[in-house]
Amino acid sequence: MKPIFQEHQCLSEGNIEGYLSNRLSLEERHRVENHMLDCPLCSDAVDGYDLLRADSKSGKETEKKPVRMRVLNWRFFSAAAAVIILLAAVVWIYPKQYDTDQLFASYYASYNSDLDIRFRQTGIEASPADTPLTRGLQAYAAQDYSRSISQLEEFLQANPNHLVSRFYLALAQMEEGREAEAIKNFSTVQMARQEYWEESSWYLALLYVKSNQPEQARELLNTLISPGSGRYYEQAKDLTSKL
Amino acid sequence: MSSSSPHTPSSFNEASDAELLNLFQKELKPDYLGILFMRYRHLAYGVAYKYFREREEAEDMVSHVFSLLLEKLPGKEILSFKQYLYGTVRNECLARTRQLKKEGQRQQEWAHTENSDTGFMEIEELVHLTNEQPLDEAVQEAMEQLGEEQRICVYHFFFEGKSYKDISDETGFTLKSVKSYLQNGKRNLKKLLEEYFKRASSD
Repeated sequence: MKPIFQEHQCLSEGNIEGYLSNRLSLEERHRVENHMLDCPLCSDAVDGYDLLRADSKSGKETEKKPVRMRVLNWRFFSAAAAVIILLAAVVWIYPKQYDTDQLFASYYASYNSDLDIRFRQTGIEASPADTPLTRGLQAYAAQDYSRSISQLEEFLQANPNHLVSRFYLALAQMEEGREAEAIKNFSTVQMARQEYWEESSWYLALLYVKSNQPEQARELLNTLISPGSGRYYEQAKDLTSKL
Repeated sequence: MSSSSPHTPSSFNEASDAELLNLFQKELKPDYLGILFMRYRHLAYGVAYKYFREREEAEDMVSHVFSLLLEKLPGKEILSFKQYLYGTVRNECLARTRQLKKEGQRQQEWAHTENSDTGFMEIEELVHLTNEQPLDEAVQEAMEQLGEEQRICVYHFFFEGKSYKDISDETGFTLKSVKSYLQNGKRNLKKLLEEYFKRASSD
């Protein structure tokens, strides 16, 4: 019987290459496979290298670097470590540069309609009437953003001070990539400092990040951080540190 | 390098992950993280390639993850660097994949990265126990409680020393299923053995 529970080091490049090219002894192959059962990092990495080999053979993989996996050796490690440390030093020393789209994407999450909950909390039933407002909010909840926009715009023409519908209109515009309009509507809701003030501040800050206006973003994030708590407090702090 | 460190520059390669992480978090010098990261860089690359099937994307992801770690690790309590690294690579790959496909947005996953079960099996305690106590009877008892597919795969793998592929050929299970039966079988075996030893120690 083979040992079932053994502590293993993670797989080296040599282990992986040997395993995939069937060059390991039975004993060594068993050790590799046993380790993969416990270690998803190695298991996924082996899957990745297996795909890389298959892609290289089939010609699917197009990058110009040598196809063979790099062999683990001191020179490679030293050179790579030097590059990494240099890169790290650059990241550390110089003001951080960031990709605005990437930063936006890494913090952005769609806002889930919370109107049912809010209505229930305040004891008010959501209006069952078939109006542009209810149609617009329902369309938002169903992720039909273009319909949501047209219905809410229609409602807002008659009710320009209705902050809830303006907030949802801005959300739908943001989902549709109509960012300039979303910024305008979020600003209106944010400046009123009433319902959805916090949410509008957060999304507005994200849109400023995306449109490369870090100063405006920072200012809004500070308003979310300064109370010392809140729905977006942690995320705002985190995002500020990256601006 | 710091004079407060018990390691000389030449011995940093022998330092444990926890020691290097601790040094990095204490002194905030990227060199320590660089040495630690290099131990797993090739694995991060393999994981990223599994998601993207493109070398350049995978390379970019590895660099991205390193810079994320530089930012996120200071002040963070980490139980296992490689577990944290795996969670980070996986989450960032998923986020990037979604971004590439324009299908959705990234979930708020940092908490998930740090707290969730990412599939790593902690076996230290069991290794200790199985080194000290006879295992045959315990394993026998535990094996009987496994589901049939898991028992077959575990038997072939651990008792007969067969490979995933041999087992697949012999049983007709796909390679993926064999791996899955073995992962779950081993996990269940671990739980059952822990219970067995707990019972034995309380008797």
